[in-house]
Amino acid sequence: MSMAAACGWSLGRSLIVGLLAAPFCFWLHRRLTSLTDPGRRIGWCALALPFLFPTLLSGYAYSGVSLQLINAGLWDALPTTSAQIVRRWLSTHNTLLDEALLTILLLTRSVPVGALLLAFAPRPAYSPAAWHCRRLALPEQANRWTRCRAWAEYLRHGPARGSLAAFGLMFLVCFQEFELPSLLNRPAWTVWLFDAQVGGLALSESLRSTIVPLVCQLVIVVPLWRSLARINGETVPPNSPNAAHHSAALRDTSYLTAAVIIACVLPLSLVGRGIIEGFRALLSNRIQLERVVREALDGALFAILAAVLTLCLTELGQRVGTLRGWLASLAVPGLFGPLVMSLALVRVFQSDWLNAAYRTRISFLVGMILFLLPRAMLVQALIQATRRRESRHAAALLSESPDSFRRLAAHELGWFMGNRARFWSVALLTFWGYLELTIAYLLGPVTIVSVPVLLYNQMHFGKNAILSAMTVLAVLVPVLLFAGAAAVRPLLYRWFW
Amino acid sequence: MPVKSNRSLPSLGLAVLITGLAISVLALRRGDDRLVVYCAHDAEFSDAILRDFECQTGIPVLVRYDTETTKSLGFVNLLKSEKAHPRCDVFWNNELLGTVDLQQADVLEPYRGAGHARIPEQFKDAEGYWTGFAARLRVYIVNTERQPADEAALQRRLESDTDLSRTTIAKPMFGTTLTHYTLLWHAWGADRLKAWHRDLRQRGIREAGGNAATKYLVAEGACDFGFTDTDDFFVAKDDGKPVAMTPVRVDGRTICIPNTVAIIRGTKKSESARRLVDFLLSAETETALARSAARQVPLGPVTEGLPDDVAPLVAWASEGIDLRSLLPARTALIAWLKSEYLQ
Repeated sequence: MSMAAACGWSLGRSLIVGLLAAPFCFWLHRRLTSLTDPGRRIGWCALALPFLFPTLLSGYAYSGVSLQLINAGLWDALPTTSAQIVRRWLSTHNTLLDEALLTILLLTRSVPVGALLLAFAPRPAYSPAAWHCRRLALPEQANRWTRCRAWAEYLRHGPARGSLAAFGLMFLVCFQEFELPSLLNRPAWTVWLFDAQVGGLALSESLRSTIVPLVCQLVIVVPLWRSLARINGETVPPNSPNAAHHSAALRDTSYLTAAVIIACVLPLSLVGRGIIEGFRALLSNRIQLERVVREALDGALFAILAAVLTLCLTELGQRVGTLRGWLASLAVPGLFGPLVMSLALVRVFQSDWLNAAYRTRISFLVGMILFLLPRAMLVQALIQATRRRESRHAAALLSESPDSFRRLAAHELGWFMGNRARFWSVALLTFWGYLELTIAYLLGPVTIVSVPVLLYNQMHFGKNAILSAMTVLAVLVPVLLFAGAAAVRPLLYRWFW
Repeated sequence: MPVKSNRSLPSLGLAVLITGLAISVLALRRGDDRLVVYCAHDAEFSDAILRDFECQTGIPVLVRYDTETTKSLGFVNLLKSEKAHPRCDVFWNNELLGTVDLQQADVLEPYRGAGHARIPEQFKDAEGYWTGFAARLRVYIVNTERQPADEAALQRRLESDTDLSRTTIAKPMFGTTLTHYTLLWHAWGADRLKAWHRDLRQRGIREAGGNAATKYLVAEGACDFGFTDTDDFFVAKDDGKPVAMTPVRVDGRTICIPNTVAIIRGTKKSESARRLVDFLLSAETETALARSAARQVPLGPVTEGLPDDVAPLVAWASEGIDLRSLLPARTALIAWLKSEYLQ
């Protein structure tokens, strides 16, 4: 398959997912922003879970499922002839099932991103009332071209602006995806490019091959970047869903439930099959266990370092006005996805004057920071949107109190009003950086075989209990590190203050 | 009494955190005194061998593996690109022609030790630039519920079936499928091989991402038979799948593909590299690999008994074609495959 064909598959798939996801985005955004706590928190968490669930894990869990269905016992409940027909159909059309599965998984990952962007999209310049007046003001004789121009202007500046940005972001999430199509054996430009590059295609040829997907993304990235830069914390309250439409509530709840089950629960149960036996085998194989634990710890600490540095950069950019533009420019490579960005960085670091850095972790660190930067900026913008400066200032003043009890109380307040968000931002960025495969593969020095690379290399051989145990262990390491830090935090505060 | 402002504490804390993280990361990484091995053989089998070497010799080893879909070709190109500044000390390849390619590109350093002497001529370079060991064979994997494992019947199906959608082969750009195609290119000529390949595709043969994928398709019943290697076949057999195998033959000879080991020119750890090479080429290692789930075929004489599964394969290996002179065919084939698959 050529790169153009692979790109065509990715483009078609992303457009279909974007169009399917758009109405769900819109409905769920309305539903969740109209709820009050605790329903709102639970709803947003349920929505975000499929996006946060590691694609390496879901891809691994679902790989080969379409083939396993051929011999599944459930067809024995059918009459023999029907069972044979079904089995024969499955054996010749299992790739269709894989494609459907990939589309559904991408849908569950895209909807939360789109809904979140809709929730924080900047207030439109035109309200629906203004648009109505504009249409009334158009002369009767206005030709089709004039009406089209007016409509395009409305799309650019009206309430649809947020929807277009949400669609753009969802498109990018699908278009840049690598692990899911790779593990489900579906064509995608990212899989084509990764395999070609690793298989020996010259770097210059690989970079030339990225022109087509780059152009596809540029069309989306430029307006999207401008939209993201406008997020300022002002949220537009959506039209509340009609309380009388119970079918709408049922629809939204059903989607959330189905998404969590398909994207999180089912993969966990597929991987969890035989997990105890897998852990037993892993514990008896000290070489493997030591290797996984060492690489996981190392990868997690490295990802934390990258996440902390990235967050510091974004905060610095917010505080120092002159740096804001530079920071926004630095975030652009990350918007094109980790694969294209990593290839460009490999080219840069293989030059004579930077070759020494390529042998170290510096190239890996730079790649990870650039990858995390746009995400960090988005997370930071969302945090700023909910932050109350006056209350934080009051807490900061209270922390100057001569009374130690009040100082501790002030720092606890400070934690809940500001530092807690920072802490979990670092946790989220760490998780993303830690599980990112292509950067680790292309930019990691030879002395590192990071956990996602270690697992990915073995996942193509199929599922087995020990690999499932290794995967679960690898995913748990950063989760446990941050859970442990969160548990220890109150003690540290008490000790310091 | 004024209380000292502690607003500098968060910044100090951040600085300490970053420094601490950086130190932890560096500390977890032992220094670059480890022997760096690029290994194209499956990690599942090679890890134990290399850890055994570490235990016996005390020489720490760092191993880098490749991906299933690209296998050793990625390493061959990587080693060529690193020629001026080599990062690898020893290359453990899971096939032969890529290593010969590296020899031609002057990436390798010759060494003839005790291990080199015990391997038959057909499977090593006379000057010691590389040496083969622990081979696998190219085989048809057959789902016995759909097709008997009869070589003649499989050949007939390949030649005469109008619909090959129940037959599978890995994409020939990498791995042992590439070696298989190289042999056909050499034996049949370029035109016949190209026609055969295009004909297979036109008749709908299922092209998989690698031998593990072809094994999977046959084992699960999505395909009746396919091309794979003995180690992938045994994975399916050990899983209890209804599979059997029969060797692929070209002009009556089998396709026996050894692992190969070579020292990279420019290594600063020659002594350690030579010890690893001798270790890999020893009878103990070949026996261990024969007893592993991969059931790799020893090429040199072994003293201990071989598993029942492996003993018959030794005879097939002795009928193997000499692959050493096929590099020109491989180079031409890769150029053609790139035009077929990447453009």
